[in-house]
Amino acid sequence: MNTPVLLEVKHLHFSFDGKHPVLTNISLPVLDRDYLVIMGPNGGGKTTLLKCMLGLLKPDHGTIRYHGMSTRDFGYVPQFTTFDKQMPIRVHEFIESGLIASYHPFKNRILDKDGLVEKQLEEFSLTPIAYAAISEISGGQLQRVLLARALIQNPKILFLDEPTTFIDPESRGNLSLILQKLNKTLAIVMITHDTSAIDDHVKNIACINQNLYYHGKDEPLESSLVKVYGCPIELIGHGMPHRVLKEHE
Amino acid sequence: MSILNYEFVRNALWAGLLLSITSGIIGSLIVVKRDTFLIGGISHASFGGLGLFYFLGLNPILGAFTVSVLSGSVIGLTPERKLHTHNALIGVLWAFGMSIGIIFITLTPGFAPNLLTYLFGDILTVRSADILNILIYNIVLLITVFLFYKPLIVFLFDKEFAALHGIRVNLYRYFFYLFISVAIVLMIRSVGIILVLALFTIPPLIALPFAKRLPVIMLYSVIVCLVIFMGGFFIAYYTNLPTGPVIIMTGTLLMLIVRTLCHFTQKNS
Repeated sequence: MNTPVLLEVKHLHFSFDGKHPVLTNISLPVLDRDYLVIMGPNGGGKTTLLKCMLGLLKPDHGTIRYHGMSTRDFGYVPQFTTFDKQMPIRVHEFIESGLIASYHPFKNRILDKDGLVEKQLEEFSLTPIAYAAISEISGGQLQRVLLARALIQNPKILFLDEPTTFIDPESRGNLSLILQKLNKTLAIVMITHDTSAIDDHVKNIACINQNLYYHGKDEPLESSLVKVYGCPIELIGHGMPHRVLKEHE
Repeated sequence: MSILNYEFVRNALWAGLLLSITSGIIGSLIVVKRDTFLIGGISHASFGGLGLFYFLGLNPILGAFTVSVLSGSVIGLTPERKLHTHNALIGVLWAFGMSIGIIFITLTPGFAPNLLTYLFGDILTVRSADILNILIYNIVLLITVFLFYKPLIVFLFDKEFAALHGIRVNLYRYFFYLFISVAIVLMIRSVGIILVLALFTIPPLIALPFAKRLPVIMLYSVIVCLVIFMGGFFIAYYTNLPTGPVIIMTGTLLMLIVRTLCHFTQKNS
């Protein structure tokens, strides 16, 4: 039986100014409980594709179909650079903002009626820093705060944009374990330029640099990276079989 | 105190109190969103409208209001990405507004008004009608911030996340700049166009090291603003110096002292 498709991108074209294409004819599926990594060099259109998938940017052509879900079923962990880390907001309040969709100025002023924030704080071992300002916490902690916020509403797909960039190796290991566990119940779409972010739990890989090459499970990786990055990249990993993807056509 | 027997002194003190609330809240939002330059652009552009209305024999403050709200709306309706690329244009708007204002005021026949009053303000010229306007504005502002605080903070902090969760980011942007534009005009008579920016930025800069949350920054900013308003006012009154500049001087000195103290205490601990 085929795995159900949650989200489907078909023949997507995108440009910011109508002249210079950022994405050309992109098609790819996000499957149920997928662990999809979209990789490519900086400026290759990764984040743009992600924003199109999230519905934050409107493509010039092509379609994005959500099957049995809406954008409310998306969890989103943005890049650290997209928001202001100096903003005066505390961890507790920040995680609570994940519930903002249900806010109403008159009918629903209290977001966290069910103590969901406490649960998330515990789940991600953030209770000791619940009342710290987000400017005071480490990169690894901030990453967990972002995850806690993204997951507070039980999303069906979790999108992560360059989650490994600003965190230390130990936090990276933790992140990998967390994602592995989460993947049992939800689909993960991760965007990265960091080839070491791919571990053996990743199910599908797509390489993007304006065009996209989709690789299903267990396909050759190295030659496609050469094409996308423009130079060969060494893949070093501990205790996992190296994966080699098919050449792009 | 005998000076309280004068109506203009009482008006000035009321205006100081009410404007501290306006300036503390709006200023915190501006500083936190890092929009100081943009707001400087709007306030200086409004001088163009002030001059034009003066030339036409209309109420100059109404002219400032029109241009301020107009430029605030344009900025509020322009996508953020475009504003960043056209940042230098704000500088042009800034200078153009000032130039137009001065040209029109010079062209106006008859007795030349005291330009300094509009540029640096005079809190002693505040009338009861102005105070009522500020009061109404404050009430609307406080209610709005109270009702929309939670989405507002997501909007300020992480626009994409806000948009993904159904917050109408464009609407928030528009009203954000609309509220600021109106606040600018309300402050012109008291502190003038040039000093508005200082009164928005100094109090939050003093408050920031002591607060981790936006509402606390707002509260501290209101208090700090009140202190420098009153301090500046009495210093100006007894030294016979213009109130606007003295208020800003007081604020700047206070900021320097507080920031220096913070710097050293943090180093020692």
